[in-house]
Amino acid sequence: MSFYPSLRCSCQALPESSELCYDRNCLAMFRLQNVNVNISGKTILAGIDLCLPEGVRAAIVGPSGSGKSTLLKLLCFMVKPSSGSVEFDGQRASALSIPALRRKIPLTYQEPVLWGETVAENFTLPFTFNSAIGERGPSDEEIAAYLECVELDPEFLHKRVDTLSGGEKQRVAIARALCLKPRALLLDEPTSALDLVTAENIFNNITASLPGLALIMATHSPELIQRTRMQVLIKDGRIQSVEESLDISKLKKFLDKGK
Amino acid sequence: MSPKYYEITMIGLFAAYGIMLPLWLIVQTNKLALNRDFFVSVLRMSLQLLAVGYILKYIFKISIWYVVVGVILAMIFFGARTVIDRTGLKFKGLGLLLFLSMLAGAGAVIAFVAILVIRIEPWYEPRYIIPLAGMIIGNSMNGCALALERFYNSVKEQHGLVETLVALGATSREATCKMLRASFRASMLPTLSNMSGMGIVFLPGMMTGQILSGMEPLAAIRYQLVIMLAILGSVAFASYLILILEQRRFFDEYHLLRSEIFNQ
Repeated sequence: MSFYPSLRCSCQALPESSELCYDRNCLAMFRLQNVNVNISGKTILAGIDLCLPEGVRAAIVGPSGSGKSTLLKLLCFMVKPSSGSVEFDGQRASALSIPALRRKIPLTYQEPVLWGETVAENFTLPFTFNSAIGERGPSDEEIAAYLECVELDPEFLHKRVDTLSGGEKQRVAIARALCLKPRALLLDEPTSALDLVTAENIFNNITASLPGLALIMATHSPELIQRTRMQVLIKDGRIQSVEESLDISKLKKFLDKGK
Repeated sequence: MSPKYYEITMIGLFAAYGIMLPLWLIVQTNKLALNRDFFVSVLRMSLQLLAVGYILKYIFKISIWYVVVGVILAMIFFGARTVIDRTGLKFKGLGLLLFLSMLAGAGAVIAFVAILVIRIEPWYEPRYIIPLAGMIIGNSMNGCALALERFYNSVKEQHGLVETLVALGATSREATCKMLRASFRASMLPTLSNMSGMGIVFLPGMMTGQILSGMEPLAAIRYQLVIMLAILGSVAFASYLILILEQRRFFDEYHLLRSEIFNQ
């Protein structure tokens, strides 16, 4: 299954076995430099320096309230930095059309919101936005393929939104984001309403069928964290370390310390 | 034969206050807990109208254009204040946006009706323009209050949907267009339902007043039609303006909801 024939994918230059480059000067998809985020006078993130290469599979790990979700939102410009710079493809947000940019890096929330009466409407509406000018809306076959990617039957397209469970909503939201043919997919607690087997299957499907897609998720799930190549450990709004293969014992120790 | 006009004498006026007596008895015997509101409302209305009566008498007498314009601006200012009080919304710039919306919406319609439709000579003749402005501004104020309250509450209640749409590439305008349409409709409904029932369910107050003061029914109806069309136009313009101005004000340049407005 290949959805992205035209996707610019630098993962060929970054095979699974290669060393990831976290250097500030590397050619990164995302580069955050000395970013601080204050909301209502409270510091949520402080001194964030982070470089995420193209096609990376990364997990943002930390205890509740550590700033994981805010860091994800920062990457897709859904939070404005109070200071510092956030760059995507070497460009700052102010220099770009933010809505068009967000289509390349959609974020799916822990509690996703669906709209309209049927699931189908969720796939068509984003293609009516100005930022989608020149883009062709997905065909039913394409949507069916995205639904299969998140372990849902293609018949789901005609289901009523108000009959879906929390897990089904989460999966539809992921498929909806994939439909935009993004460069990176940001997932906030993607497994919160899914069982582990389904979550792992979805992860496998996405990584297998979309090799160039960067997948960055905020998660507590050790199984999913272990499947990523990069782990960003965050606590009290500060990045503690960036790991390449975090083992379970270290992960548990880190999360226990945060409690 | 000139139509008969009955002037209300002071005795007649005091007799009208007598209507309050049976009402007061109903409130008392049924313990309707309305005592204070009942008297305060009647007293307020009486004092306000009395004061306005003297002010209007003076303004009609001097008939100076800048005084008339000043009175209309003051009416719009107090209209904007009333909208803020009624909706309970307090954020920076709201008063100015309301004032500008009502000024543009109601002001344009008042000028159009006074100069081109009724052709008042001189255009600032206070006897015509002030009551006309009062009706138009009052209705615009109601329209703005309904539009603003509905739009603010819709965006606040559906902030998750708005945020999701924005995260998928919508502009703030695209993310809230359905809410804006529903709010505009809500602001127009009272005027539209008022128009539908007019002449069948009830006779409008202004027309009744004109007929009572001796005007021919058909002439009074012509006035009423002009006033209703003016009200419809001003409510639509003012409500639409406040909605599009607020739609911009609610979001920052990143198309994100302004927390200082929605965390009230």
